[in-house]
Amino acid sequence: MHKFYYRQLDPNLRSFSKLFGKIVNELPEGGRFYFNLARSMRMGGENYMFRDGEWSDPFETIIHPQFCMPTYDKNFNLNFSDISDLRALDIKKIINDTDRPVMVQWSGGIDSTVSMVSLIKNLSTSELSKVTVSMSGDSLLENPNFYNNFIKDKFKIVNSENMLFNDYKEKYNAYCIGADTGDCMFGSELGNKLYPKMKFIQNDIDNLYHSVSSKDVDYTAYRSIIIQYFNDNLKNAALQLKQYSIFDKSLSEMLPGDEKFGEMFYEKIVNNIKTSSVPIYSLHDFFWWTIFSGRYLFCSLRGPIAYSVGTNKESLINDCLIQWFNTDEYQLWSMNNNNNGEKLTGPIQGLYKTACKKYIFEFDKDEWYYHHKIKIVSSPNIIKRNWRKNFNDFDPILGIDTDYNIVKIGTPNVDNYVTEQLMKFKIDWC
Amino acid sequence: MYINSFMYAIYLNDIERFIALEKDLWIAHLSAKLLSSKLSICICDIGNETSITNYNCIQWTMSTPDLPTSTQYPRLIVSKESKLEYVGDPINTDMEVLKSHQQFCLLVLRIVMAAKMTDIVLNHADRKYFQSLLSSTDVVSSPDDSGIPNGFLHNIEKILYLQTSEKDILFHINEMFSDSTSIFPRNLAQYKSLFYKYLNA
Repeated sequence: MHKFYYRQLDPNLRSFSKLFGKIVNELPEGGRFYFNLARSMRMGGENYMFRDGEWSDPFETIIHPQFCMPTYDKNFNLNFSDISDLRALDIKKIINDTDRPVMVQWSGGIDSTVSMVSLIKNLSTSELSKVTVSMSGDSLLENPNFYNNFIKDKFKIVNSENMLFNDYKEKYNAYCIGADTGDCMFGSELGNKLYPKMKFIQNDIDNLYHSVSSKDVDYTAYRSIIIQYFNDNLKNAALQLKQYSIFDKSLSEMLPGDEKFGEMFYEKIVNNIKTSSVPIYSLHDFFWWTIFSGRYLFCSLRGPIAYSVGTNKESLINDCLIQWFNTDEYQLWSMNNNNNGEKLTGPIQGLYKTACKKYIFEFDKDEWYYHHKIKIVSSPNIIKRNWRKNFNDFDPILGIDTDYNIVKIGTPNVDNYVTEQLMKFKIDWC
Repeated sequence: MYINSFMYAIYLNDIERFIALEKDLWIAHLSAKLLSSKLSICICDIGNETSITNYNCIQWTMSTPDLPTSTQYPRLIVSKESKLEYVGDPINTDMEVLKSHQQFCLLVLRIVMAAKMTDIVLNHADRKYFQSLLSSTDVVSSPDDSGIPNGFLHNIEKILYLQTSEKDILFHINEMFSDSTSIFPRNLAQYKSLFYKYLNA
């Protein structure tokens, strides 16, 4: 029925919970696995669309041409700084070839600050006058020094708290630069959350703890830790669902067989890794791959799809959205710079995104940011400020089809389709 | 009578170590807020653990699966499961830079304490605060009679939030006290004298 460019399953959303409440106890093993995967991921739900390797899915998905993965080339050797400077030249061309404004979503975080630094370094004063910074009070809180020194009184500013993604196009006819795929380049997702918890999962893991980004320690050495971590995520997520009285009780129940979830998820990722064309060695590589390949579409498209109104997203995606890190050069750099200190130099927060922080420091000389800045998750702020106001628009979104039309659950056709797909999905990897 | 033998530690999320200790929770909290322009911080209740001092706290961590590791706004962590652990110097960290940042944090704590003490002793007219409680916009009120635009405490906090070196902090505080255009020069002199007395105590 549907082919998706983007799709998500999130039992934490009311619309999904209504649907799942009706079917969850009837789901066979495959559908139950997907339901468990969806609730274990918590916010954002299940939205994997691997760009390379085998990944069976209850729904038919197609990788949008703008976000395909470039072919792995082990000889690629440009460094992060050169690539970041080059990226500004793409924006320079847009500014000079069109009379449309460019708006940069700046959260104050590491990724969006890379885009600001690159633009300030490489664009002329007159080109920078066409750039507007879209930011909020949270951006100020996250990077007050950069704001004071490089943004205040130098750029036009719009308050992102009042902006939905479609406003960039409809109100300003602008191109909107986002840095949502920065995490995909650096792999800071599931892994970051695991490293501080590792010692609580397994004793005597000093060597493993310090080797998360070592090419010499294969991710398979962490098998039992990863499986336990996935199982813990599921249990905790189920417990969290239980606290919300609006949700059907069945959503928070753990059924016999659910204890195998961690192993099934792990083996599914391993199967994907074995059939992909990019080398994966360390634990960091393992988790990097799950976001670089698996959640790239979600990270790229959630702005125009999940944080905007309107029923068709074609012009937002093809004529407004510019994901800063969505170039072949950044992606090839990312494939070639695991386990060498460019992404992380240890399993603690301050040692992530090394290449980004070096690039920013060379420009702003902010020693504090360079030594101490950590990733702050932006999505709770985005949800807090404009997601809730537009709850009825955003809550039921299942995805977009290949005509860019929004598909929402809550109608008999779509609900029946989701139910059928989950009912017939088979475990085919273990 | 409640005897407070507790100590609070400022914990850096980026290196997973403590960087400074403070007996007073409110001073620790305000200092952490002012340091949040540069650091991602939690405040941890470390009870009456006497082995940890400002000299060795960089080698100690709070071991708990619950620390909020992704936040820019400092919060107090009260966790029953937490455990203090000696783990040595943080890995792959420039210790010279870290020690200098620790000195900066300790200075911020001292200045916050001195500023609060000065304010409590000298300020008997924080009209702005009470006006805000009344949601009144009928009159324009000042927060104190120091003669410093926007008030003494606010200016100190602003300096601590925005400046990035000890030298710059001390320079700007001195500059604030040297305002030759102050409308209350005698009051300003009193604030200066008392503030430095507490700072150097």
